[in-house]
Amino acid sequence: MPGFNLLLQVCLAYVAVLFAVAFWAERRARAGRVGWLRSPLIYTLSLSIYCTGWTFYGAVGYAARSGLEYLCIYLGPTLVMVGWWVLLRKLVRVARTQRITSVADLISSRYGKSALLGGLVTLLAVVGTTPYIALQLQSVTLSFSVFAGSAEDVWPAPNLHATAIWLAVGMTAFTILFGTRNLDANERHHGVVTAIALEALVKLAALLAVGVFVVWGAGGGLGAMAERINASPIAAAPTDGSRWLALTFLSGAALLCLPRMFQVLVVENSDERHLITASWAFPLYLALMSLFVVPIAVVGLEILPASANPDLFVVTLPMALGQDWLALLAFLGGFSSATSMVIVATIALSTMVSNHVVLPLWLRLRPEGATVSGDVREVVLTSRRLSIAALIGLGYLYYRFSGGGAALAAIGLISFVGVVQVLPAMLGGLFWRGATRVGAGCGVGLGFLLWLYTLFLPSFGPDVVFSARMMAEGPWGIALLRPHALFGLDALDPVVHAVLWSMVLNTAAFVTGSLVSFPTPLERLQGAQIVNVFDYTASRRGWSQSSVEAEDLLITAQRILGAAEAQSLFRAEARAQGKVGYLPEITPDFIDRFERRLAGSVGAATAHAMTGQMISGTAVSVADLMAVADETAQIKEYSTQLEQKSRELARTARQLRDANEKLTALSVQKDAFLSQISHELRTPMTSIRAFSEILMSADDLSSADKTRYSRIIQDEAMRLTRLLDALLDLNVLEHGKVTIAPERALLRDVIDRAVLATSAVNAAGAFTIDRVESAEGVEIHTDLDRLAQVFINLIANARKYCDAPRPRLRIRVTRLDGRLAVDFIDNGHGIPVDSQALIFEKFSRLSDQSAAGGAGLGLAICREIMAKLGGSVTYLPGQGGAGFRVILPDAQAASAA
Amino acid sequence: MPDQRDKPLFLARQGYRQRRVIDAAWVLPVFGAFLLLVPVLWDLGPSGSDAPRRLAERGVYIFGVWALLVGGAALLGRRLRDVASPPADEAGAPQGDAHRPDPAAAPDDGPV
Repeated sequence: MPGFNLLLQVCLAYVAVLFAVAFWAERRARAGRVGWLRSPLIYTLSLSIYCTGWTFYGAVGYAARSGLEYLCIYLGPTLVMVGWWVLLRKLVRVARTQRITSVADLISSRYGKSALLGGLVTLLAVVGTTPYIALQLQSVTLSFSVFAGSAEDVWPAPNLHATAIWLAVGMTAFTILFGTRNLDANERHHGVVTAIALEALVKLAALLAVGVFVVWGAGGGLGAMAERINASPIAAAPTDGSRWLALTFLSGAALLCLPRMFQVLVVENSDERHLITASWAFPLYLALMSLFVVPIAVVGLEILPASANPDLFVVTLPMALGQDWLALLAFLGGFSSATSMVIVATIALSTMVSNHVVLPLWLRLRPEGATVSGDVREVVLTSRRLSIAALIGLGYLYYRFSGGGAALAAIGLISFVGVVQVLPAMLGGLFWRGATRVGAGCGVGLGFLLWLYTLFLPSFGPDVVFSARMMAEGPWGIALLRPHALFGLDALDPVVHAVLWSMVLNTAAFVTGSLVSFPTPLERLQGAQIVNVFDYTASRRGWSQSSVEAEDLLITAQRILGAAEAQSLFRAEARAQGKVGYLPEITPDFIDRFERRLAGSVGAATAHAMTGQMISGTAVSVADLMAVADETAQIKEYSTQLEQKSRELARTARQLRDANEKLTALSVQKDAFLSQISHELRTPMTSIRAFSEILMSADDLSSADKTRYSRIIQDEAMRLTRLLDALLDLNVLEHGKVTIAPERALLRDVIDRAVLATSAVNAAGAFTIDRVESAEGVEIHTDLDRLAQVFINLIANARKYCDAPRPRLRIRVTRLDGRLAVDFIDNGHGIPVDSQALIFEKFSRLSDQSAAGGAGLGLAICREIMAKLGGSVTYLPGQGGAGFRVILPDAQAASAA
Repeated sequence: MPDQRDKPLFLARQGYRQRRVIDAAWVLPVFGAFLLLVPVLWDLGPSGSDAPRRLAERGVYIFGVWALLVGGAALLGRRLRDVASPPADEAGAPQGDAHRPDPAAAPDDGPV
């Protein structure tokens, strides 16, 4: 019989090994050698915290009382794991993309990062888990007492409580040491996970060893064992179908909803593919854990006295058969089961409490918000450490005051029913986009209340919370509301009854609440992203605009993530944007990533609230929502852009077509001009040649003839000279080699000069010039000769081309926007619209009138001159004839008297 | 099944196999649930209450189903390893077939 001291030494040695393993794993991970620490095997073994001290010891007791029913507790998780493709895959993917830290965080995140909902789920989890922690303390102290029972002189009863206290303190120390090293949920707790993987092996080995010994050592082999099973009183207990159904459902749901299971299954998952291994390895583990439970129970009932507690058969049976070392191993197995459950459960719960209760309150109580002084990281870590201590302390108190009796043994299933109230909101949130925050709140809230009323509060026993009379007759004598027989269903087992009503009404409230309420934009965004997590891999865009400084964000990030991590995050972001230094541009994408990173440390709701405090912009605009959630909006936007572009293209094409037409017309004009100019040059040349030959060959010419011929030659040569002069003039003007000599004069004098100079043109026709002499008395300052040249050209054109029977030219001087304008308007047919664009071009000619003294260069020269002088000449349409407007240079007009 | 208008009507043999493996991954837990809920029917009826029960054989049945499920999941898992490639990073772009509409994804019945 191992004495107390030996037991204590073994326990301490075992704990020391756990600490060493955890330290070693942490150091290894810190050095970057993660290797097999992240292997699927470790992952699968860490899931074994599902098998707690209660299941380790209690399964045998359960089997001794109800036969095979204990298997339901393992069959539910088996089905969920085997069907991982349906549910777990999505859950893990969502948790990874949204950086989920706990069940409460998942619910809060899915329903628009609601802090209230997160708090409610946290409360539910704490109320549901505390008794469970008490249960673990009970199972360990009970097993201690088994050894103590044989050596009562060295281990008096009060020491049991001392044992419980020391146990609680030790687990608190371990959990705080390895569970609150870092904040980011994606930085996994390697030390803890490796330690519980080791514990998983210990408890499996212990149970298998006891089982093998019982079947082959005490039971006499498989065949004999089967006979004994069929002959045992266990076989007499009938299988309760409703309980079988309810417990299978309950345990399967608990695998998803228990905070500690969510922690190891989802949060600590580092690779989705680990699920593939776990999908068969974890059911195998569960099967091995439950394989020898019935034989142990059967043999225990046979051998041990009727007073023995079946819950302790795993330890007492080897002891009774003289296998002390086997009993010690079994004890260590139970110890492992209890401690690993408490450690992970408190880590999970402390995360929830700090992220969903402490931080939101802290943020609310500080009016200056998250940006001002105070180290948030320290607040989070401290609150986490304190909540670990508080949770284990609560568990201890619960254990002390509940007396540690049979009432506590039943709490395992009761606790399951409590945490499973999250299931409808969780599944609805994963698969139904219509699920809303109101619906989730109603469902979880109502389920919580029903659980309290029908199962949890009555579990304290009669006359503790509910009086025996109320339990029997219902509150105020209303029989329909009896806690164990709600609405008259009094034939059911209390657990089945509670599962039925709480699940049905919870789901009904959830669905109804979702159907009648309308979600906020953020809820709809999160809903779309989570439900369609396999389709939408693009980042959600929660923040539209911001006026926040990168430095403020960096300061906050440093307080939460720690200086080194925050700086590396910001530096990486800045580098991705192509900037040097630590301060990136504050884009919506960056704020999004920033918030998500914070969410990994303090939960989605808190991270959202903190980011929201710093960013004054609206949280999420409908436009953002549309752009992300509704692809049609993007398509519409795209097609609008396309339309705009195509309109632009059409405009450009039209301009090109116009230019092309102009070019074609010009080219035609140019051809015409070339033939014209060659004709014009040829005609005088021909006559010059002809008359000069006559003068050379004919000696008998009269002097009168000679003079006449010479004059013709001279006239023709003059004509050629004028033509060449005009071409030269234009060339000079165009290439800017002209000199301008400004002089002061009255505009009237310049016009007089032009009118006089043109009086010889087409002198035969009657031509009236209509002037307003008084308006012309303005002094101008410009190159008078050049200006006169323009006027002469315009007046001469009117004289040549005006085809009215009584040609008449109006010359008007007006002021336009402070500048002088001189209009020359005749009463002819004017210039056709399609030619108006061409008349100022070189070589352009509207008609083939022989009277043309020029060669279509006049207006082109005019335009060049006016441009050189700083004014302009344009065609003035709509005047009832050809109209030209000469706008005089600005300076001259301003200096006019 | 999700909308498949943008895909060829018939898949290559490998793709076809992969889809049937995914179907099997859905069916396995349903079969398992049915087989494991058979005990509900064991003691139904008036004759069941005091007749001696073959507890050992019942245990063998359940552990047999359990072994089948473990074996089935292990077999399927080997085939599904290629299909279930996770995204490169928790916020990063998906790799490989993650672009495909997933058979496991729920149809969009949302209000948007």
